[in-house]
Amino acid sequence: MNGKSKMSWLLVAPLLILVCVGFIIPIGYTLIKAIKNPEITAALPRTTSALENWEWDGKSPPPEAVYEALIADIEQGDRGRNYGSMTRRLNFEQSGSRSIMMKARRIADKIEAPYAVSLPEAVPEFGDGDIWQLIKQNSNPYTARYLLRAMDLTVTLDGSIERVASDQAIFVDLFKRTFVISIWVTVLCVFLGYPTAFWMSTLSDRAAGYVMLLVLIPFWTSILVRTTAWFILLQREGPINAALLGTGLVDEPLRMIFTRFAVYIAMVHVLLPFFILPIYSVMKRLGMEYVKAAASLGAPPWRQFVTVYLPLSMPGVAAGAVIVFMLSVGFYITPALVGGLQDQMVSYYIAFYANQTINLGMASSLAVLLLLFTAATIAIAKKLLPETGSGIRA
Amino acid sequence: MSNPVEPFVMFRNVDKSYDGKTNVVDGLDLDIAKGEFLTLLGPSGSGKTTTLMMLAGFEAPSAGTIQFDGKPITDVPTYKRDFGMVFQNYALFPHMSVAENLAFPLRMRKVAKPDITAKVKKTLDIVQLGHLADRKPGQLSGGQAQRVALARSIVFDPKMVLMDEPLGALDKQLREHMQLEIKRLHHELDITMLYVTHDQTEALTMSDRIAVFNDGKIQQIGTPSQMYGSPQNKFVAGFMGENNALNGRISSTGEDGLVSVHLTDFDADMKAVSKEPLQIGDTVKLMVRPERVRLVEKADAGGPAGAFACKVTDTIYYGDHVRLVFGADLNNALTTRVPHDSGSRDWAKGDAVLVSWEPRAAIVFQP
Repeated sequence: MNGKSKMSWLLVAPLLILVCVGFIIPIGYTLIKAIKNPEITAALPRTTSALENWEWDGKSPPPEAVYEALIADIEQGDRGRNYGSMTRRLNFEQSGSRSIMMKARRIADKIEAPYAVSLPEAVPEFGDGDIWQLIKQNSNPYTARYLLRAMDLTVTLDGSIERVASDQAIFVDLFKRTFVISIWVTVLCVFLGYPTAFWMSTLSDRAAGYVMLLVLIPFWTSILVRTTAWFILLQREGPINAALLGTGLVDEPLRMIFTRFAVYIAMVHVLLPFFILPIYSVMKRLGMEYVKAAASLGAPPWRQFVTVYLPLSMPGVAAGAVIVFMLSVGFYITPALVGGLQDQMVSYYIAFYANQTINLGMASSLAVLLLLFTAATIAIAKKLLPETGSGIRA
Repeated sequence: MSNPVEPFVMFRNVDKSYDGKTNVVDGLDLDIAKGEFLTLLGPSGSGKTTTLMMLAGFEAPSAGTIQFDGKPITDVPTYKRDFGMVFQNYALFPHMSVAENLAFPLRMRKVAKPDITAKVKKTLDIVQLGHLADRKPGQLSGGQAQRVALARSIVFDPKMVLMDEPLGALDKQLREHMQLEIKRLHHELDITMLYVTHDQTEALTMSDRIAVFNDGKIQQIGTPSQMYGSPQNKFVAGFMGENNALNGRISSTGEDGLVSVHLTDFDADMKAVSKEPLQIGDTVKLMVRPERVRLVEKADAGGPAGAFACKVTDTIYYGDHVRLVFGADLNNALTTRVPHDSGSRDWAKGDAVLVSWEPRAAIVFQP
């Protein structure tokens, strides 16, 4: 390595460190969180190793050694956080497991050996193999159960994968909804932003500067402020309804807030500049030269657009659409504020699991799936988009 | 109209103004004959490109009429005018191959597929680019892109071809080669061509007629030899080819259009043609082409009539010829060309010579 390249490494080092510390490490940590499963083995090390040689047959409980291991784990464990996390972890897999395990801890120092008899007497659920099988199934340090659950799938006691009960199946719909909303927001941004950017590209530099200011001022305003503004505008008692009522267009206030309509309008408003900026720069560079050439070659206006201008401006459309789509799949604040419960997107549940139930595994799994689905969508879109060749020469 | 045949293209009293105040093109009258190669020549901002763009339909005249083949075309949109156009930056569609670029105007005219293929191939062969049909414009050299642009402008047999400084982006050798190529195409296809350039050499070598533009007006229009040999005003004389512009004062006016001029910087009286009514004592610029200046060594007794003595202040080597500079003030100096193979002696700085020219070779204009 010569001095010059050492120097350039030094110059990019702060950026590399920032990317590692601020980006790669936290994301890697999140990805791993989605499959990490330390709770059961941390709280019940003896029980899980004792269960290793036991096979669940659907009815019979494990031998006395397993019961002894459980009592030993309860008595010699720290009795605090580890045990609590373990019960929450089991309860996520099978509701009701938490209270069973809590009861076991409460009576552990009151019962005598043989525990295989005394424990089921105090807590009848320990009489058959199911709770033991649940512990055994989840004693692996890594698990796919969070990811499966994020797709509304679960693992039964005999190890097969099946759909969760329909009243708990919310995530497939959630992902569908997130993508439908994002695709519509992207489409709306394309149809509103493309003509706007084109119009801007035909203006004089001075006029285009002023219009650009109109695009940028909302862009500089915090998302929260803009969303709150829509919240106020769209309310039942808000100015829009007041105006509609005042002009006599409607007889009673329209329900706009907490609807999908409100989500679309606020999201498009927030995201439109992200579409206009890249497409405007492409159109500015493109100019009217090729359109003029097409006109001179006998193309009427709509064919000038379809055969020449549209394909040549496509890279800008693609860039803008990808940005808008990627941002909108991760939207949280806007749907949370102006949308109803049926308009919430994946991020809402990620926040819910991370902040409310402290189920980081579930939060991470949703995040991982969102990342994968988004990447797949963009990869497919890239394949489907027409090849624009060498594009515009600089 | 005294003209028995209506011209192919006719500009009548055409004005073009972008801001409503100054006319970029001002009261333009211009006729283009069928099959003619007409060049609009002038410095940038002289209105030549605007004139072309108005004929192409990209700009609408602010006043006046433009007729094509006897019909006004001001309201005809560009795509219905059927003119081939070569742009300064070629404007080849970057997302289409060379063949697709050529097929484009034919597709727009709903020509049958097999005919398109045949016509594209034939036209590419005319410009000797048959082997590059599948390339994208981004993969072409400047000269190749130029030929493709040319081919695309003629592939649909347009009624006329308009070219806006088409060779501006090429280097000198390629430019000279392409000048011949375009000239050849003009002869082979027998097509009317309107060509815009600021390069007077290009205009002289290619055109049937040249219109010199300045300040939105045609200064003079005529064949290359008329333009070069008898410019009608100082601008044309200075713009077409190299010219010496010497300060002088009219010392006498004579019959047959000749005047005597006292050259202030050389203290000599020389005869010249006058195209303007001038009085004795008027200050003028005397224009004489470097190649028309004759030199005789001062040692030779007498010398031609009307010669004046001068000293060489500088010599500049040009390869095929040497330029000699006379006169102390470089801005008003007299230059002349001496070819190498003339058998004459090599001139050096400080040599004393007698300078003269044919009276008909020099023209005086008001400064």
